[in-house]
This record gives sequence, structure tokens and C-alpha cells, in this order.
Amino acid sequence: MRGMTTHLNFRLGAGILFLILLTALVSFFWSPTFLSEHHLIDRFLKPSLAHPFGCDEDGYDLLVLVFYGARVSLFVSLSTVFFSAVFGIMIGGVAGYFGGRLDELFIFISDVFLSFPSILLVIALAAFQHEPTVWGVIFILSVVGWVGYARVVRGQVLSMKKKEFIQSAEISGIRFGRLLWHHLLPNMAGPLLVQATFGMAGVILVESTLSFLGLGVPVDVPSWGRLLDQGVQYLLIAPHISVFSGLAMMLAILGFNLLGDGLRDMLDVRSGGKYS
Amino acid sequence: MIYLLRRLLFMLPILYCVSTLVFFLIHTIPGNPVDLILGEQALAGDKEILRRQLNLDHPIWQQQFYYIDNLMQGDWGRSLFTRRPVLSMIAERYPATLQLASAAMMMAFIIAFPLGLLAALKKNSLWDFGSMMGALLGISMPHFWLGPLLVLLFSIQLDWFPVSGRDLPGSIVLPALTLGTAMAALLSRMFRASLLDVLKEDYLKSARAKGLREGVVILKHGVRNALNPVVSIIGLQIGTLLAGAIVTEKIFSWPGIGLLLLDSIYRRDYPVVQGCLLVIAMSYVIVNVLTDFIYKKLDPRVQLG
Repeated sequence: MRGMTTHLNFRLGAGILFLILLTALVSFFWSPTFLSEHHLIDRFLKPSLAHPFGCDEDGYDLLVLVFYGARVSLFVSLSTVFFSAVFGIMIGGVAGYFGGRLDELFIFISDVFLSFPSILLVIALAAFQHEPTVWGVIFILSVVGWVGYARVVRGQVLSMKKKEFIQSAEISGIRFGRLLWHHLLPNMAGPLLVQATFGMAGVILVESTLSFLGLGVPVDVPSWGRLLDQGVQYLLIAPHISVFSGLAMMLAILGFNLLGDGLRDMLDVRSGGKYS
Repeated sequence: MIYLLRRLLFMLPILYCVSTLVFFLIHTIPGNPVDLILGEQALAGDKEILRRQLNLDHPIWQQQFYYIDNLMQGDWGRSLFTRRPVLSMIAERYPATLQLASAAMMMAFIIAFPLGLLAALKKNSLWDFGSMMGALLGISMPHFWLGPLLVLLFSIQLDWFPVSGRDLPGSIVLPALTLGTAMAALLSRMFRASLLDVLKEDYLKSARAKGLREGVVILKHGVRNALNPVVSIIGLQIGTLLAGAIVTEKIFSWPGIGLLLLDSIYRRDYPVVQGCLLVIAMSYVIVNVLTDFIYKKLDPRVQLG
């Protein structure tokens, strides 16, 4: 029973994400022509054959915008997860391996970070952002996001430090960087992968929340959060804007959560993440 | 009591960290606060007076000292926009957020309790499957999508509740439902799991053996014990609830502190932004201490310290 649902979750999640990835890729070929081509007369057009998702406040085709939003969301979340993981691996690895004062300092800092919900910290940081940019959002999300990865890595390093294969590597006089990269990291790929998968879902949600609040990506970048913000403003005359952009975002979040569930059961990992 | 005092004392360093963070964030803003307040064309003399008022003529570590000192004395500065004291602006808005958060929490309990109970008592049935699928959906659904959908259904199609604002009767229902759903979903899953654990316990067998009715066994002996882990999760969820309140207030134009924070961010009214952030952080810390306390009241075996 457990094995079956595991594979079901994994497959369902992978299927959903494949579709979303496809729409993001399609947007590379499709949107440039469509984004320049918009007619104000199509403003708030209801869904039809010509515009399956309808049109937005400027007469842009919503389907194109939602596809483009997938690209933005995936780009932001992949970059954030990448940077968070890299910093988390380095900091968590050092803290776990060298221990002592360094480790105490790390525990204190991560406690301070974890004592507040990530979204509140993100909003606080974004409030003081001068000019919103995509990289600015990625930076803010990574500043808050690395802690979860660092905790996972620290725990894994602590449990591996005394193992024989690490000790024999140490005896051969290996440098720490090489040890971390070649010996420690491959042995914690599972938990990190699970953390990153749930992290993707979390980052997509937080990024959309920021954009919805008007603190995220710049105005001229179509993202799901921005579309939803617009949809709420015009809820009475154009409900399709919020319905379709929200649906896309929820599918993406659901997809990563299902994939994470499946991976966790298949790799037999127990972990909780900062964003999950 | 001593424990409570100690916890409250422990809050001070956390709040100090938060206020320091906010202080330094404000200093990362490009440009000069004086120009920001008075405009770049202001007279040099006026600028100098304001500079001294804001303690900008001191080194930064002294500025931070003055800043914390003022906070402690209840001087949180004035809004750059309305010129009113920040603290009184916040005091005006705070009750609305408190009302929204408590209504959402109540809503979450009202939804989660029967769902979790049903799912646990009829384990592996269609009821169980249905309510747990619903819970999964509720967790995955972001506030800022659920809110508009609820408005579409209950305000526009059915015309039961107002679209936004806080003035009409019933205007709290949709915001509370929006904010409470994610929590309800989480609580019902937690409650189901912990009730399933409790139902296996021997003391339920002995309660049945001494001839108690099944309803009493479940409610007085089962549910009572199953609630403990549920309460502890609430403390962890308060932060999510507060962040959700910011989003929910924006959707429904609910005049709480979240909306004040957002409006102030848009206007670059930094004294108000900083006040709102501090108050939200303080509420979070205080509620966490309180839930610890309730947890102990529910389960006397728990040792706090």
C-alpha cells in the first residue's frame, strides 16, 4: 500500500512538473511574438477559442502570460534553491565538521533565523529594497533559505564524521574542501535532494506571495503572483485572471510537494525544511 | 509563574536582535533620510535641524543606542506621511488584526475538529480519504488564491457576504475563512494522527471496560488527550497566521496592521514600516510563550523550564 502510494505521488508530481516545465520552455518560443502583440480592445476578454484563458488588463493573452510566469517562477526558485544549497552546504559542512565554537555560533545564528517564520523575514527584507529586481528577490530568498540546508548538512556531517571511510580519507591527508565535495556530499545527496524539492515548492509560494504584495519581481515581469494581484483588483469584471494564474501556481506547488513526498519515501529520508 | 517571567525576559534579546536588524536595514536604504523626509530642495538649515533631531550627527553605534532608548520610552517616531506618532497609528489598526487572527483560529478549529474526528473514527473509509484529500488541498492552496475564489463564490455568485472592508456585519467571515483554511487543514491532519495514536492506548480499553458509553470514552478520554500535540503545533503556526494576515488584509482591504505595513512600504514611510515589523515580531514571540503555557495547562505532565 505504502509503496504504491509512494510511486503514485512521485509519478503524479513528476507528471505535473513535466507539464509546467514544458509550458516554461514553450514560452521561450511563443511569448516574444505574443508579448509585443496586444490590443487594448481585448482588455479583460473572457476565455474563448482564440484566447483559452482570456485576456488581462492590457489585452495580453493570459495563456501566454501564465506560461511566461512558469518560466519566471522556475527560474527564481531554481536559482534560490541553488544558492541556498551552496551556502548551506558550505556553512553547515564547516559547522558540522569542525564543531566547537564555530558550531555553537552556527546553532545560535540558525536559531535566530528559525525563530521567525521565513515569510515574515522575507517581507521585512523586501520592505527595504530600493529597486525591485529579479536578482534582488533571489538574493532575499537565499538569505533566508540557506539555513534549512545548512541544518541538514550539519546533521549529516556530524553523523558521518566518525565513520571509517571519512577517517581513512583524513589519514590520507585530504583537504577539507575535497573531503566535503568527494566524500561527504555524495553520501547525503538523498536528504539534500528531498530538502531541495520541498524547497522549490516553498520558494514558489514565497516568491508569489512577495509579487502579490507588490514587493517581488519588477512590474514588467509577468509572474503568477503579479497576475493574481491584478486578478484580485479586477475580480468583479475579470475573474478568469485570478482563477487561471492561481491554478497554475497551485499545480506547481502541489507538483513539487508530491514529488518531495515520493522522493522522501523512496529514499527513506526524514527531514523538515525551512520552507516546507 | 517564574517560568513565565523567565520566558518573557528571554524575549528581550530576541526583540533586541529584531530591532537591531530593522535599524540596520533602514540604514541600507540608499539616500539620506533627511532628503527622504524633507525633499532634496529643502533649506540647509531645516536639514541640519532634522539631522540633529534624528541623531544623525552621532556615530552609528550611538544612533542605535538612541534608537533603542526611544523605543523603550514609547517614542517610535512619526510617520513621514501623516506626521502622526507611529505608536498611535499602530494602536488604531492592531485590534482589527487581532480580531481577524482570532476569528481565523476559531474557524480553523470549527473546521478541523469534526474533520479530524470523523477521519480518525472511520479510518480508511471514504470519509477519511475525502477529508484528508481536502486537507491536502487546503495546505497547498495559497491565501491569495483561496481568498479571491471565496469572494467569487460567496460574494459575487451567492451574495452572502461583503466583498471587502470591515464595516458590514458578516464582513469578517470570508477573511477569517481565507486565513483559517490552511491552519484547519494542518490541524485536522494532526488531530487525526494523534487521535489514532490515542485510540490504541490501554486507558481507553479500561474506560470501556468500566462501562462508560462510547461517546464519553471518545470525547473525555480520547479527544482530551489527542488535543495536546495539536495545541503545540498552534504555537508554531502563529507566524504563518501573522504572515497570512498581511496577505488576507490586502485581499479584503481589512484595515489591520498588515495593510498599514504594506501601505507604508509603498509610500516609503519607514518609521511606520519599522514599527509594524516590530509589533508583528513582538506578537509572534508573546503568542509563542502563551501557547507553551496553555500546553502545560492541558498536559500537567509537561515540565517547562
